[in-house]
Formats: sequence, structure tokens, C-alpha cells
Amino acid sequence: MLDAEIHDIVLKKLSVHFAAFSGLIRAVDGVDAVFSKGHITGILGESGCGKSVLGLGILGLLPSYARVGGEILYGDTNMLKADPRWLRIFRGRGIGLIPQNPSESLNSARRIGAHLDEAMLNLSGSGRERKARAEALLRSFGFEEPSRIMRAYPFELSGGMQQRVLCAIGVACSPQWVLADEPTKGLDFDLRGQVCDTLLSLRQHGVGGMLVITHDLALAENVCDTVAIMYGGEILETGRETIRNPRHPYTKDFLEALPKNGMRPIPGMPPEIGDKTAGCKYAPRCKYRKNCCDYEKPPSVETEGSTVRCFLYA
Amino acid sequence: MLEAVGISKTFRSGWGTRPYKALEDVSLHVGGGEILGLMGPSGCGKSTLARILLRLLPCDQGEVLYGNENISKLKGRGLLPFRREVQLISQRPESFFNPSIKLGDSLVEPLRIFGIYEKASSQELLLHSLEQVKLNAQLLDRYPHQVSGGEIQRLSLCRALLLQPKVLVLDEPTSMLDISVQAQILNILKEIQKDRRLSYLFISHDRDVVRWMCDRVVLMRNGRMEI
Repeated sequence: MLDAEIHDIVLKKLSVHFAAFSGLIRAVDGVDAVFSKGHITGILGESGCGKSVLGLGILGLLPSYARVGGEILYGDTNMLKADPRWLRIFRGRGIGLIPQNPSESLNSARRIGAHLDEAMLNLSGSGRERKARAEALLRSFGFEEPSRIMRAYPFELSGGMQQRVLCAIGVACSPQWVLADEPTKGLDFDLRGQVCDTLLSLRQHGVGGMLVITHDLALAENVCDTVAIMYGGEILETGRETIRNPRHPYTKDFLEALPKNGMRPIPGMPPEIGDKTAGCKYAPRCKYRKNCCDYEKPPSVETEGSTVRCFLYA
Repeated sequence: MLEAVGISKTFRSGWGTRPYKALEDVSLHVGGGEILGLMGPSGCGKSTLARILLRLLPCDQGEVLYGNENISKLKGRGLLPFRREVQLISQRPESFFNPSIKLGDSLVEPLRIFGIYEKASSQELLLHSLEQVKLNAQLLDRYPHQVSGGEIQRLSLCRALLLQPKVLVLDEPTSMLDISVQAQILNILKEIQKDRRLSYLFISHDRDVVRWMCDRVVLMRNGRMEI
């Protein structure tokens, strides 16, 4: 059974590879990380850097053909080798998912009440109790008429309302952790503000830790306590001040693509599918490249509150 | 160049449902060689206005002028020059490509539709457009699912450019992309606009992007223009 104590999520040499005609796709490549309880951790990076695959790995939702190596530890349990029954309870009670794209994540042919009821099937209690809990949840996420919302179909709600419904579904089983996958993708400025407030309010719902997968820098800056930067399936930098005070050359270049910083795209292309670089994956695009970057993996170095994988700080 | 005058649009979804007023007396004007930004929150009617401007949707009141011609009244073949000169770049370019056709064939399809496809000259034009959007010709042998989000958006821009348009309606072209790819595409769009003296109607909800990209900005809220 899932124990009541909230634990850190620890990744040890986690790798997720997919076999393809064009070669082995190294979506996640030897990631070591500790996501601490009580913190909101943002995982940031370009499209295709492996952040969503990492999230699916933590949820135990990777397809059967994925080649997974390393460990994902929750307390003493290695989630990659856990009993499927334990995992079924863990998803929902251990970790709740807030998926990306609210309009596509909700079934447009089913009412909101049916979505919430389905999310709570894992809990004990009668249908009437589940309905009362669903209404209370919706009220706590700012819906003034929860019974009307329960009867509504997803297309009758605005994007912000749908996002709040997904948050309610994500915490319906009172999970210890929440994983939010691109919660602001495609949303406008006003709705992004609402999503930030909603994510911050999850702490009041007893959520012990949160992982926010995003490429929205404003969201990461406003919501996250710690930010991890991913590139080519690896975490290159982690820290509390990563966005305000970037250390790794990739993080600096990534931030220069913001309109306020001159809208300068990163030169070159991200690593190709099946890339087997022995050294730093960012080396071909890096302006501080040294000879050793091509054939040696940079070590993790602690510097001014950040952990950086770069020879510049070694 | 492209002008909307007093456009109103109401959607009716059937008996017993209240009609929804999407646009009310909306007017705007995109000048020659100008980048006009259209900003507003989700659901304020920006995309509906874009579709009416492109004659993909009829309006209830008002008219769309292109040059000095009232486009709202044109039909059939009379619309063809307008269809060629005013092109749409959408938020979800992948839905504009047939998943079972190679990208190279998809790109020249509009030339065939307009009856202006000639093998040698069209290939040359295609390679020139690909160069402008900074893509490699090797992509032409791939299928839409084999390219990234940024690449497919640049391919949709390449396809629009093949028809030598004068106006591009860009409906949130980078809202689904990360900031590095966004910067790459917006820089390309600016270069092409300068090079070809195109007019852009640039629809977005990102203030910083609109400020960086546009010469002039108009705001919409609840189906009306804000002053």
C-alpha cells in the first residue's frame, strides 16, 4: 500500500530510449535529479527535449516498447519495478496529473460531473458522497455554482474554466504530488494569470510537491521554487535563481530568445534523433565550446546555489 | 490594402439556444507593406474576423475591401485572384497538410490548383522559398509527422510564399511553439516582409511579441474594437 508519508521523487541515471528505423531515440539520457517534497519544481526546455517523456516515466505511463533504465525512487519503492496494483493506487493518490490542452483533455461528449466522478472511483464512498466532494472541489477552485458546472459539457466552459476543472480532477484523490504538463500552452495572457493562481492554490489542497513541465518562462518564474533546464534528454542546470541568473550557456541562449531580450534564436539545430555524442550535447551550438566538450561529459558542479553541467564551472 | 468596414457576425446554433454575437461593428485597415497587430483575449473574435477577412466565413453586416474591390460580393472564379494574393498562416499548421502525402507534393499543390505549375520553374521557385524560410530540401521527401512543430510552420509559410501573396493573415503563428523556435520564425517573417514588401495582419495575445513585431496595434474585446 501507498504509505501516508510524502517522499521526494529521486531519479537515478534514468534513461528512456525508443527504437526507431532512423536509430535509437534517446528521449531521456541518464538523468540524475531529486524533486523535493514541499517544492514546486519547473522542468523547462525546448520542444522535443524529453521533458514530457520524463513526466510520463514518473507516472509509469510509458509505452511497453520504451527501453527504460535507471531508477525512479519514491521512498523505498523503485517505481519502474513496482507492482502494477501499487502503481494504480499511486496514480491519483500518490501523484495527480494535470494534462496539457484542456479542450482536448476533456471528453466533449461527457458532462463535467462524469469526469470528476470517474477520477474519484479509486476512493471509497457512495456516488452521493463523491458528488458532494466534487461540488466542494469545484467550489474551492472558484466556481460559484458548482452544480451548474457539474451538468455542463466541456465546450460550454471557457479555456480558463476548463483548466480549473482539470486541476480539480488532478487533485480529486488528494494526491501527495501533482504533475502539471504544459498547463499554459496556447492560453492568452489573462488565462495564464488564472492558471498561475490556480497552481499556487494547490498547496492549500494539501499537495505536498509539484512538478510543472513547461516552456513558459513567466509561469516558471512566478510559480516554481526550483527550475531544471533540460536539453537533448539531459538536465543541464538546476537552481532557484536559474531564470534570473542563468549559468549554463544553453540557459543564457534560451533566455535571449525572449522578445524583451532581443528575440535572438539559438543558432544551429537541436541534437538529431539517435545522437550519440560522447561529450556535451549543447557543444555544437555553444559559443564557449572547448576541445574537451566534444568527447567528455561535463561534470555536475555546484555554483552559487545552482547545479550546472558545464566545463566553464569545472 | 485589406480593409474591414463595419463587420458584424452572430452565430446561431439551433432552436432554444441564444444567438452568440461574435463581432459587432468591427472596422480595421491593413496598409500596403504594413504589419498590423490584432490583440485580444481568447474568444474575443480575432479568429472569426480573420476568417471573414479571408472570405472563409460570410459576415451578417459590413464589407471586406481588398484594394478598391468589395470582396464580400465576389463569387466563384471572380474570387481566385484574391484567394491567391491573401494567404492564411494558422496556429496549427499540421492540420493544413495531408498526412499521407509527402511534404514536397503538398507544397506545390496550390500551384497545381491555380493552374500555374510548371515542373522546372516551380521547383526553382520552391527551392528559393525554402531558402527564404531557412529549410533544407531534404525535408521534401518526408511526411508531415516526421518534422518538428517549428519546421512545419516554416513549411506552411513556404507554401504560402509560392503563390507570391501580397497579404499574409497570421493567426497566432507561434503560440504553440517554444520561445527559441518562436524567435526563429518571427525573425524569418520580418525578413520576408522587408524583402517582399508584404502586408501582415498579425493576430496574437502576446503583448511582447506584438510590440516587437508590429508597426501598429489594434485591440479587440468581446467582439468590439477597443479604442
